Amino acid sequence: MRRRLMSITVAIGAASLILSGCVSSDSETATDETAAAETSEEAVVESAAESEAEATGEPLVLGIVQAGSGFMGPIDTPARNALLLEIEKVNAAGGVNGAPIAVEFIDTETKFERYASAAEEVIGKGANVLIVTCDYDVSAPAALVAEGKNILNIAPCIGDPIYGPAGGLNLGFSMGAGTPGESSIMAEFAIKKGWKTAVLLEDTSIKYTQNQCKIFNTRFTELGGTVTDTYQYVQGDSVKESVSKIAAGDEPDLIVNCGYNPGGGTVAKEIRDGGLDTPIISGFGMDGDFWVGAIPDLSDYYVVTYAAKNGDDSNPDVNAAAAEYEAAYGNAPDVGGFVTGATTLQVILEAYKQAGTWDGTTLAKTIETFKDVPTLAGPTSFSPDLHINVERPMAVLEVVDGKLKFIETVTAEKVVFP
Amino acid sequence: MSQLLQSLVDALSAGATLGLAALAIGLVFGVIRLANFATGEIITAGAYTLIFTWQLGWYISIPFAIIVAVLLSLLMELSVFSRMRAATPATLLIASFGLSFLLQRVYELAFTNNVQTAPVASELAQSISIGGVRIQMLSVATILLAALLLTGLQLFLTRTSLGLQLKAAAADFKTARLIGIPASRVIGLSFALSGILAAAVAFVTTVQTGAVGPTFGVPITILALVGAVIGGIDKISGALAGGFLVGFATSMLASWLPQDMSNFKDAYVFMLVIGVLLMRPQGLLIRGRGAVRT
Repeated sequence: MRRRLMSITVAIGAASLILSGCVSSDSETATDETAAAETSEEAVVESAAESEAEATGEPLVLGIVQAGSGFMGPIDTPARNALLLEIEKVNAAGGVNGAPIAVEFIDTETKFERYASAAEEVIGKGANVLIVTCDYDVSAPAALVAEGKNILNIAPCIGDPIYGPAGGLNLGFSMGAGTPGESSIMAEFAIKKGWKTAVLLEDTSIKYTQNQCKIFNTRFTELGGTVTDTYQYVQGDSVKESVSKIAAGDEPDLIVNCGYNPGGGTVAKEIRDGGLDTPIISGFGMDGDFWVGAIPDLSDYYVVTYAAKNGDDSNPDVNAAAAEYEAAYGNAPDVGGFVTGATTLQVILEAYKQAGTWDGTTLAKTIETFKDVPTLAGPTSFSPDLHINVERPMAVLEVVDGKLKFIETVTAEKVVFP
Repeated sequence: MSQLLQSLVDALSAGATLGLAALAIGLVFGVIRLANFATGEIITAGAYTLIFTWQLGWYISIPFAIIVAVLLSLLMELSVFSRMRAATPATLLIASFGLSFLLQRVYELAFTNNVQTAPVASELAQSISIGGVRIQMLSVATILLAALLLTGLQLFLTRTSLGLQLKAAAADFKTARLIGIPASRVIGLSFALSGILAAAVAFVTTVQTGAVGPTFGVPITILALVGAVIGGIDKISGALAGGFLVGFATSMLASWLPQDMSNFKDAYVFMLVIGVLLMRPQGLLIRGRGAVRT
């Protein structure tokens, strides 16, 4: 009996550990055509060339502590792959300070306990800037190591403003488009479509989706909309029962799926399987085509995200970058967040150009002064309090014939904070 | 009234799915004291097979998924567990964790960590409304499938020589061996049947989600394992009943808890589990203190 109970205890303990693996999300970009036109490769190469001209400082060693597998793998990978492509371009133009940019990458496999030691390892190998996973909860241990060593740390696509001073990271920045802007756009888009009532399905497993629903609710209500119900779930849960309740009541004009994949895709399927044809809207967490194939003839599904990855974005630079990505990796980026890869390097190089040092505090102070710096992800601004962009234009996509199609680029009329 | 009926259908379906998964675990545990956590990866293998072969037709895809699940289950036994016959149940459980994580990485390498999707039996996923009650065809199909499998298993266990051997081994493996029941055959049979049940679970869950990732089978296996334990993992019917109870209770709580509390449904379920383990550590359906085996 004791052995059996021991087995039970171990099983339940392990189950708890596995279940506790919450995830992250991000959000991001869209493109302002004017800004983006200035963004392109020439700007990057020019920046690199200028740095080379100085040729007096230390070379750039990027430490990348991200997930190549595990639940953050699909989120981290497109931005990281795009970042590596951007590094190739800069290196081809002479690198930084006369030396090619070096990369020290450790695949953390999304293992929480690996992040701090991985950060120590890459910094020990000379990394003077640290790139981390696109989720605060996951990447905070690595970021804190960087903070302790006065090293600039950047998450390409975290969507929650907590990555920065709000989360104790004075040298931490996200190149993502924050939930305040993303969710405000979602609400304004809904009102523009004439949807007056909404039901929220909120994945409570991460801060990103919690704030997404909260901000949507605030902005939607401000604009005269009514949130009739909110149903919570945890990533991986079935929401069949919630769908039954929605179907039993007055059908709303809109369902907001504050979720991320793969659980968010299951939620979308269960909504449609439950007989609800209501329009659905989501943020960057539901970007990507890979989940759409599970739902035959899915329509009336909208996603507000960084950019369109399928070559139909309004910004030709984004389309060119997507094509380069596909040529290099054999497949299109999984999500529009890939644009933050290039943006990450663009911001680092611009900061270095202005600061002339890899000192973390100096770089951070410099980045905090950025106002509408053109990058592939769009005009990029920061402030001492806000280390993430919340006012960038974002792409609104719609699922058509099993693919996400670009509809329009939208800037929030008013950005609401949680 | 209609909401009650609707929630009952949803709960019966959820209970049937978890019951099958718990039974897959209980069958093997009954024979070699292995609470096989890697059952989740057998479910995942079946699910991937359905996703990748569904366009060939259900009559190819479903048998293929069953074959893959059975073969993987047998492979686990032959390559790992057969070499650990003298190991304690705790050691076996840890080994199954290792196998589970290993297979998840293999799936990740083979199929990437993004979900793979296909509209598997999408007709079954549709809902119909009967008298104001929304019924998903999949719920009905799940209940019928579970009933069919359980009837078949019951007939097999009570009407065939092999089945009786398995049942005897599950009741008392040491005595069964002493009276001449071939151990390896019975063990292999339990793994094969477990594979078939896992394939059934894979079918139901794949129709429901349409998307499969490397850890697809893990959540249901955790709940099934918990269900099997509270029902009485020593007994096949106990595992089945426990799994059903956990699935049923989880679904009913999701339906009836106030919205601001529904997110805590798992907490209530695990409170129930703790309560059961405190009062009846041997499981709900096990009389006395349960058999102690080595």
